[in-house]
Amino acid sequence: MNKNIKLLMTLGVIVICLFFWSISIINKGIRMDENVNAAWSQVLNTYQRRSDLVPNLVAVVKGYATHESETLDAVISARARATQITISPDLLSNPQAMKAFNNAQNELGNTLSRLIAVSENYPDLKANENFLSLQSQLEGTENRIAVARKDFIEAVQEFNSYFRIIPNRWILKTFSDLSYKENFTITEQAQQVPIVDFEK
Amino acid sequence: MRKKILFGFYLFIILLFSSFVHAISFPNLTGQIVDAAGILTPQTQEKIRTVLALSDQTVVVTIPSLEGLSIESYGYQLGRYWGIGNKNKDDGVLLLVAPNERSVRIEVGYGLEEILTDSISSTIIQTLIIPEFKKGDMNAGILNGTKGIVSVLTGKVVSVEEKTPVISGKSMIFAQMEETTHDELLLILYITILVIIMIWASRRYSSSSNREQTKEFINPKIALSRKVSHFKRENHFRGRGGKFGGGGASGKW
Repeated sequence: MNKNIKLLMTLGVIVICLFFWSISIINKGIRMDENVNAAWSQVLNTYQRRSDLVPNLVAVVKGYATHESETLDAVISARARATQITISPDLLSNPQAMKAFNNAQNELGNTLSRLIAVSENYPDLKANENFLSLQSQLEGTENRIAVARKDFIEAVQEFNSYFRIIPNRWILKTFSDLSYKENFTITEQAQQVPIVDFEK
Repeated sequence: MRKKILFGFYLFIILLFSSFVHAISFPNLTGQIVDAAGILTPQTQEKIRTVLALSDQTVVVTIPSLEGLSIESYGYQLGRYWGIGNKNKDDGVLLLVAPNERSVRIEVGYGLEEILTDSISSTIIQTLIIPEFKKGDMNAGILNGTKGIVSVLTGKVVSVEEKTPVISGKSMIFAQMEETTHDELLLILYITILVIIMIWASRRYSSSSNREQTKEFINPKIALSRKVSHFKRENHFRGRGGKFGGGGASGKW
């Protein structure tokens, strides 16, 4: 009788310990998940910022670079494609959607850098104060994109490795709705960084 | 002999890897001017210091090497590492000069991106800093740039500060005390906290300056030199957890 009570009490203590231990693991996972979300919204913010710059930039370039309608059209349509992609909440755990999103944004980045490169041929444009201001804003925005992407990659790496480690994986998969997240790949990151060079 | 060579080889490998782990070695934050590249004369530093007195979370940095990074990548990481800027305002600014890479950057904290915008930063770099650098006058360029940054910042920051005066830790506790004067227990609690803070603060500062203070009574010359060095030392300067997201502009010359 006495022994049984002791056994029950030890079991109870073990169960309570396990319970709180699992809760702490889940809570840490949730915090990391929130970090990933915050980093992701920062990525979206910076892309939005770039997207907002495009109309002004196109308008200024149009006034000077009359023979570059092809490059300008490419920028405009790339921007349209990038803004068309609806950002659903499950984007982070959907490889295809993530890839499409990335491709569209990379395309816009590439067309923009081509536009800046082309504008080097127009001295009047390069002397235009409006253009210089937009160019530095674009350069700053590209840099912010690179920073936001790097932060996002780090946040996802941290989350994913936490998510995959053995006891965490069992606990998180059974007791929480958190899931493994898609990350940007390194090659995309490498493509993304050096886009606008002020000096050239 | 062979063992020694092997040992040396292992040591080399370990050192190599440890240098990869700590990829970037940032200079120490010794004050609002960190001249790690050693290009600023004492006179310029004095002038820059008087300008920077108007903007307490702006830092001028010269570095001997970017360690293979782009100045954009180095800049925001340095800003985050030091935590320049107040915690929730993120109002830190770095003027970063890498003379060996011939690169200059103005790194702007999140909170100031609307004031010191990318295009204003770029204008400061292109019109105030780079022309002097091209002439070979690093000191004038850095001083000009600092003046430009601070005049842009103070144009707005002054009014911001008037709205929200900075409350030091001590006065905040007094303010809280006044709200809860009726509750004696709480009052005692606050006094205890105050005493703890005072003990903590006195310990923090006494460790560095206690000896010098006792000497003051004996030798007035030391007291005077201490006051001067205290003015120059800027050891109390620290980042306050400001965040950076890559805002600002950079240039080369």
